[in-house]
Amino acid sequence: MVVAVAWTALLGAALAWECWCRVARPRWLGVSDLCLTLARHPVGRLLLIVVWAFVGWHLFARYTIPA
Amino acid sequence: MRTGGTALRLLVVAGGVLAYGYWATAQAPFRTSAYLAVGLPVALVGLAVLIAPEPLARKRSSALVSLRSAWPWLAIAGLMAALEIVGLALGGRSTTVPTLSTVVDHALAWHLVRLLLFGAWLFIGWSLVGGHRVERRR
Repeated sequence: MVVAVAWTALLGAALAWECWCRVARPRWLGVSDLCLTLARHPVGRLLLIVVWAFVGWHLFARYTIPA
Repeated sequence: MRTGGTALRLLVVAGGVLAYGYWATAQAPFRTSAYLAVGLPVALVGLAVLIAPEPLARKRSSALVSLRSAWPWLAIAGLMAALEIVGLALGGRSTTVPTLSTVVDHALAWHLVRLLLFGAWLFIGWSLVGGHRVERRR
């Protein structure tokens, strides 16, 4: 339970941080900046697409609803 | 007139995406149809990158990436990775230290949550091929 709350807090923090980075534009980078930098290189772009595809299959084709 | 046409096109596309998302997230997991429902957007994104790799390459962020500028994200990602590793080391289905997948699976029981997440996932894929213009200036 504690770890599930920790996961929720981490996901919330990640989302809040990204939103803040996009609105306030601080000197720190958001994940979209990191992805754009990674996407400059063909291998980085391929890696992003592979990760995106893996997340899609894992979330929407291979999920298990707990009993 | 042109604005009306754009709005209509946007409405048709949004309706199509919503209908596809509803169908895709209604598929039972581990079935061929579920794999195909996810595989189609993956194939389209892969094809788009192969055919026209330029749009994303042009959207370059002018932000300089360094450890100092990226540390908040690296800290969050590091904590997530540590929790995931501990969860996986305990078998992946531990109730005391669940993995991210196990936590998310609880939310995926609701079709609406799956639909919303699928929409977000499609949006990210669309962004990868340059559909979403993001330009950062520092």
